Amino acid sequence: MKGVVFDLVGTLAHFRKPDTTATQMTYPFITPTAVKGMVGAILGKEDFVTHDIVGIRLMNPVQIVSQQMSMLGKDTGSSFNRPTTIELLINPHYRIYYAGEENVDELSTYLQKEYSVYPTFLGVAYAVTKPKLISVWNQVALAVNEAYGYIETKAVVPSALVGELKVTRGQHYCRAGGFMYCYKGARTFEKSIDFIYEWAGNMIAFKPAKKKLSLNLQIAKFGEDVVCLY
Amino acid sequence: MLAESVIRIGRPIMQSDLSLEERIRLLTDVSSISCKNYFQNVIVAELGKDTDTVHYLTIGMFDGDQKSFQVDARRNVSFPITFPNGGNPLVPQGVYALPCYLMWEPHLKKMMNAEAFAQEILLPRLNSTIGYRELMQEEREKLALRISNLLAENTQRFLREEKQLGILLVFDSRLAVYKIKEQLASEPSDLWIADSLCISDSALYLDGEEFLNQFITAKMDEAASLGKAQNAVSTFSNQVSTEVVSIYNKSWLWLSPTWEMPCSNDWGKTDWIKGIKVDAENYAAFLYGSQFLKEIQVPLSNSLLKEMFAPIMSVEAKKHMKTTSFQPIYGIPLVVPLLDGDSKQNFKKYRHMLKNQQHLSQTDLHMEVLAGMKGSIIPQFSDEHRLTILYYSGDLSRGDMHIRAIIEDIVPSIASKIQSILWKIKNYECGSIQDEFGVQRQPLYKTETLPSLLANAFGPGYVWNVLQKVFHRQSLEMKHLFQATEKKLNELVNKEDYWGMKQELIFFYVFMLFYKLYNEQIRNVKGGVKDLADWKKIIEQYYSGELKDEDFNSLENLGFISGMLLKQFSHSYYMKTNKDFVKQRVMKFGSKLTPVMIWQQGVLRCQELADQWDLKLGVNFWGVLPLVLLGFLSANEKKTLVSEKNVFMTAFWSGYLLYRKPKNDNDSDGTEESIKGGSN
Repeated sequence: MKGVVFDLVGTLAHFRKPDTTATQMTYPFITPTAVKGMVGAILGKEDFVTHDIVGIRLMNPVQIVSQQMSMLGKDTGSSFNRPTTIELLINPHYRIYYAGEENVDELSTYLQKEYSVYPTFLGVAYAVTKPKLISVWNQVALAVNEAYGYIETKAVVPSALVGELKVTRGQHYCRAGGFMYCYKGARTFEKSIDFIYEWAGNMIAFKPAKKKLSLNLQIAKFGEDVVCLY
Repeated sequence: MLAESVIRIGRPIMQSDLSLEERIRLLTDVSSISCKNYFQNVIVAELGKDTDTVHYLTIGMFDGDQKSFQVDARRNVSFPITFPNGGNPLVPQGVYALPCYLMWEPHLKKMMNAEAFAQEILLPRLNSTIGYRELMQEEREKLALRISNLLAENTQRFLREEKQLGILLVFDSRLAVYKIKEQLASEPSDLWIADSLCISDSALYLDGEEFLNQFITAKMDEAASLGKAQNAVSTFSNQVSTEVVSIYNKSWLWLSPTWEMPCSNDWGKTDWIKGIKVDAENYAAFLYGSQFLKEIQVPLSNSLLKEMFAPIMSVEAKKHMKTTSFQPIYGIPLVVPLLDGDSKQNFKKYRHMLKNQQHLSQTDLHMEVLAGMKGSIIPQFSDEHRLTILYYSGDLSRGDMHIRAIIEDIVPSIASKIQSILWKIKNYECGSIQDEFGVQRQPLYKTETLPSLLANAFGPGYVWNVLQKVFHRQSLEMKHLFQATEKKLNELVNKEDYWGMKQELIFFYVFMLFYKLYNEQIRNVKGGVKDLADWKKIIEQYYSGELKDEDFNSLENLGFISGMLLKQFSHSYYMKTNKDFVKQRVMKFGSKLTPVMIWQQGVLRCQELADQWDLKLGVNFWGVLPLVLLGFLSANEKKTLVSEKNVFMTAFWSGYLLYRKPKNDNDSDGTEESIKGGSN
């Protein structure tokens, strides 16, 4: 399995929770489907569907503010605007680990050339970002559960992988549930995934769960970085 | 996703040993306060094999004063009504689990016209009732007419001139939810409706378990109106299920599709299923969870809203704000495990949350203190759980709601420690601080709850942000507090409102104490701010003349000591001139007092004026004066007198108002009580 690592930095981001209609709430960090959508935008592939998998690491602490905005139009009718509360992520910075056999080479080339077919943004059009290549890996090794010892990672961890969480004093472990997991094309989504993350992006140590998983979850090594891929 | 949390809350409730009656009560609106008057007129149309009859019941009784109707809580579960959420309540809404319908005034009046009632009111409801789905349309029309004729013949028994609300229950023994049994032959799942008027010695029962099954089915059918699929993967279980439906529906109006977003442009009306989809089990858990959250939601009081959202930079502006000027805000606490899985223990705790008025314990989290939600209690959860507090405004019943803030991932033990700090301050420290300022001890409302304390310190624009920071153990920036305090003190001193100034400083030092304890006990950080205890040492050293150079190493200290110094000087000056030194000589015509003015027009002139008026000043004064003057020179060089004037001025007024003339000080002949404005 090949891999490419790149950073996404911005001043604002918003990754909408799809079950919030009147109020627009955001997930605390970029969703796996948004990462894959962005790769599709870079490569210029519309309705991008892939079996490649991604990992996400928080490089900045999660900061969310609520803002009331006037959104134009309720529909095509006569309503002009609608006061809408929207949550925004402030100073987002993510390190994305992208692995697989389908698009890694092409993506690496595009990132090296700093080229993107479509604009890239962090969830909403007014949160533009420019991906920055960090490293390319011809071989990403799978870290096979390390004999059920503790695995340490700075990336966010799917909760289904966690059998036991090692709590370090002073760290703030959080849960973000109900991310859409798989994009099937034609605006159709399937399955969901939940994450455990440390608020400031610090190390998480966990023992993997000894159970059969319904999702394709991997633990891989990008050099020294241990990352959960999904 | 919120829905994921709601399901995780609902699942243990659904799988619990909750009794049938409690389940019906939770899922329907039988116990809703807004539905109680419907139980005054309960009409049961009993359809028999040979004859049909009408029962007219009142499920409950009036209080002694005949004004308030109390519903019979043992019997109301036999009439499981659901109050419509949004839309026109006069038209049928959603899918009915059984033929038990709420009747408004126009409905009841129309009963006199059997044909119109059948066509316009009853038939549309029968069409949307689970048990009659299998019937042909003609059969339903016949049935509607049959019931309407029966009701029309009996209207004189229950229709009155005045406005009425009621419930119509059609008891049709063909439906699986109903049973006719001999009297006293019921099973635990049978809920008595009434004794039969068609069959002697028999009674009409609602099969509670069957009703619950039909209720979930009805809600699933409602959800299916925006899309359903067979043999598809459920979003939350990640497993294939025989049938899944869209989660967007009217059961939980936060998810109602009130406008096109977040629906994709490519989706048709029933394509919502392409987004989030749920299987029957998760959907039932979702229903339990959403109803539970509705039960435990609490409105924030108007007085708290004023504390949270009134401007803090002006005392006058805040005073003139009405408590009714703020949009109502509701709060909901959610507790879910951090890792996957549900705990069976959770249900007991959730139940405790519902019965929150009883057995208040020190180990519980009192959400009034922590989040301003009166009467809301969170039982003790381990740190393997996370508490979320959700605030929203708007009208949930119309789907017009706006989340004001959602504070996620609160560690229960952190919340508990914050609560202890607030209790300690309220019960012990607040009074001591009031004593120091010579103010009578009284409850200080704005320091009693965390949202109010933080809002008064940081301002309405920062309430949610700071609340989240505190729950997440993050550092707080104090510049807003200093800014606001300095501005308010200046406003009050110009009005010579010294009592008001003391109140502001009391709040300031309560907050400083909170901040200190928060840093020490929760963030494990020591120092950083000065609370009243720190100033006490300085005050003692000042009286005894033991202050040294190093005591002037911070601008805050310089401000505080110069405040004491000028107050001491003011005492003597007043006794000689009968004038307030700071007001007449330093501030000059109500100007805004600055550190530079205090230095140049106050401290620098003390020597000259003391000589001119032959003022009697304590020995300690002459020992401190040169050190203060050197401190000002040093601060001026560093330019901190301008850049940190808020800090200086707050400390200055603290020193000024905390200074007391020592009892053994015979060098000046003024008494504190005689000093104008020196105390309240």
